Amino acid sequence: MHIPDGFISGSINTASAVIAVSAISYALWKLKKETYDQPHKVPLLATTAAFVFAAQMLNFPIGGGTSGHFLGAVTAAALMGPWAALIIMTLVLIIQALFFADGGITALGTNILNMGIVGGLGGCMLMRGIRAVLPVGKLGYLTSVALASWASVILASALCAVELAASQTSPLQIALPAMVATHAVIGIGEALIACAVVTAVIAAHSVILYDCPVTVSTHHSHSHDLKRTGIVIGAGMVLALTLAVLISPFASSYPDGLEKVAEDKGFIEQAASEEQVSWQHSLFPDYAVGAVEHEGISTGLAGFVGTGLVFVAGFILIKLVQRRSSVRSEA
Amino acid sequence: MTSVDVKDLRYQYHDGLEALRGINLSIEKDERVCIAGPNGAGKSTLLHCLAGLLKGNGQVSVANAELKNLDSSIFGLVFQNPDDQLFCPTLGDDIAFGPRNQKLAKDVVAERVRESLALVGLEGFEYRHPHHLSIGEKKRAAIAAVMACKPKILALDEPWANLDARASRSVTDILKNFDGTVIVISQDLYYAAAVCKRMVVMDGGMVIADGDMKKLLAQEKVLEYFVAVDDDGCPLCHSRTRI
Amino acid sequence: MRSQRKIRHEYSVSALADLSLDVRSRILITLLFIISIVTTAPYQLLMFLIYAGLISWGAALARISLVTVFGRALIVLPFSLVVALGVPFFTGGETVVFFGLELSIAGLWTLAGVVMKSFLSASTLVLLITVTPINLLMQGLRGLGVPVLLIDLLNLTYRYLFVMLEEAMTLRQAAIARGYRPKWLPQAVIVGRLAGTLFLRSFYRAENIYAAMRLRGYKQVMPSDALPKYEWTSIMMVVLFVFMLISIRLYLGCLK
Repeated sequence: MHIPDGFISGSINTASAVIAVSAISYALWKLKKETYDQPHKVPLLATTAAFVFAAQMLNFPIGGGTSGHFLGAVTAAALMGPWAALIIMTLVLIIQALFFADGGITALGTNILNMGIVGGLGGCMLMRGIRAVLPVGKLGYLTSVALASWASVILASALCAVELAASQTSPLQIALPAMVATHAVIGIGEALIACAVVTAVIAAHSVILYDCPVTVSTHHSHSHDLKRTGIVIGAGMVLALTLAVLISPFASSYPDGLEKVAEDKGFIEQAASEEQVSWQHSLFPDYAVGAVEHEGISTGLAGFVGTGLVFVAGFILIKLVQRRSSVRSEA
Repeated sequence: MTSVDVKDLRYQYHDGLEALRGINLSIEKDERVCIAGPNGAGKSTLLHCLAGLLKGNGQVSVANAELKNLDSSIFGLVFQNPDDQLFCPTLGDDIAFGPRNQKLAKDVVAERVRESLALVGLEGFEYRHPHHLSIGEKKRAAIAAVMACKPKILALDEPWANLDARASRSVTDILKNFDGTVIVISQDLYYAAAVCKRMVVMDGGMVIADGDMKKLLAQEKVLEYFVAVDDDGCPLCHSRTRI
Repeated sequence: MRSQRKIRHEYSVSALADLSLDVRSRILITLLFIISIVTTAPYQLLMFLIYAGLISWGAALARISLVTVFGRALIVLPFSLVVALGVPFFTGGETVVFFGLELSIAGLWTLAGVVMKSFLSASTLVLLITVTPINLLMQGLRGLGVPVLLIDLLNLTYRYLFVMLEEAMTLRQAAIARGYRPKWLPQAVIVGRLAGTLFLRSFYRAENIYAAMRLRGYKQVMPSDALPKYEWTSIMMVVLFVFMLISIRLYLGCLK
């Protein structure tokens, strides 16, 4: 998911760099205030970033002889809070780009947008939203961490695919379903690892967690819990459906991994014969300016808007559910 | 002139563990003291209290003053794990960290860095990344980083742990040549005896013996802390404890 | 794919001796050079040759072998290929038949462009990193206006990166030694347990680091020497370099 230099068009890189720089500035301002009172957080942020970096090196199998690796954005958010998570992911990405040629310098803003802002901040918002409607306690907390981790990986990869497509580096019809399908599986690994880390931390020293669940309470009304869980499952289903509707036009026919796409010759020929129109306009799409590639841009835009919409819809839903359930508990 | 004076010092951790239970200790200026005892005796906690990292109940005065704030020019503490202490990307920056925080002039800082590196035999290591050093070099570098602050009292937590013979000897030499008070926590009595005359034995958060190292080790009740005994009660000779 | 990333960055003595160009200028030149690379259209092959030539020239000036520079940059190729390999099959327009495969010419250019750009950009960065010690690089970034807190965090992270990596590898080896042979996805839980241990260690390590920092007088900010004044000659170097790049591109008609 680390995009190197040369893959993303100048305008997208510039736009995401602006977003990234403003978000990072705000996060640094927040952290500066926080570390003024708690200066011990400075080395802690750094060792957590080093931890995320090291944990990314631990591969896990995702089937078919390939392996995925940990991203860590939501885990960092669960451990240290959303703004710290953004900074931690930024630190990891800068060091990977500078010293390991992993991810480009001009694409740094885009990579931070995908993995730090959408993965970390977005993942943390998701986690809190999900937790708000889940029963209080360890199980609810872990569920929120797991779901948010899974979703953050998918969202980050979907955004990555949309950016690649909008830069006309790889067609949306191929990149999006391939990225989303692969990362839907990798996301499961991410969720498992995130839960394991959080569990280990709760077991060792629950104070460490940024906003740790209220001590696992043993007695609260079960019927209320069940109701809330029902609402959550309903909300989750609606969210999943929305996602499915949005992605299905791309994903239905070829839900396959990117590497497999390239290898599978038969499939490739079939797809090539089913010609897509939006990618053939400009000979050198990176730098063609003007009215040539309306459709290409509009496909990319649709993807952006779609991702954004799912986000917004999910939140409105969760907020509504939250309000309703809190009204009920007052009644 | 006393360098460290501790009266009835008690310390309790958050989890309720009482690590120090009434310590009384007085150390003269330029004295070299070895603190020994079993694991969990409270040795490291005592050093952390002396350094001011932990606040216990009781009276602690260091260099004839009530300890209020941490002062790197008075008390220097070398941790057991040098990786925790070398936190800058290059060795030069790391050693300059303390002097720079003392607001010394740039050329004075540079001179301190050069001097400290020379003292521990690491001349020309300014640009090295700490991760690329051997454990012995890291240990010496950590000592140099603390010595660059010119503390009056140098305390070390297990300075000989995990070191080979040559590295151990160089650490021993550094400590022998240090101008000031030296306090070491160590299980390696062989090396400790080369540096320290006096030994303080701790167990269960209390001082159980204090005095001349060789005399103390001649006592059976002290010796049993440091020598394993086989089924017949014969001491298993351990090279580290042979003095 | 990731496992090859474990590169050690030791700068050679010769490179250290050659610290003549101000680090801020080095960073700016590197950045502008990479921007120039990524904004070159894929079919302008001559321009890419010139970029490769300039990188080689830089490496020669710093007395670093080209094998080091280009060898380390090879690391970007797997990603480039995986992402862009499909492009020639799916892009429309004129096609060529190659071993019975119908490939789009435009798609092939996109593929070639992406591979060249990512590779050359990575080489440029490798060159910068190899000739510039990390502390100097960070000072330079600070001099260019990057916030101090971010620089301090970058320094600390870079320092503990290798320590944590080593611990991660040790943990994994310990798991393998006790029969961990991952085959299916749910076994990611075991990776998770390793990661949990790793995080707890990093947490306790941070406590020790903070204690060590406090003992040596840490107050909010890591102290560091101010960079020397940014000489106008160093600034001129950047201007000259940009001027040279633009003239070459104008001359070759490669500026959009």
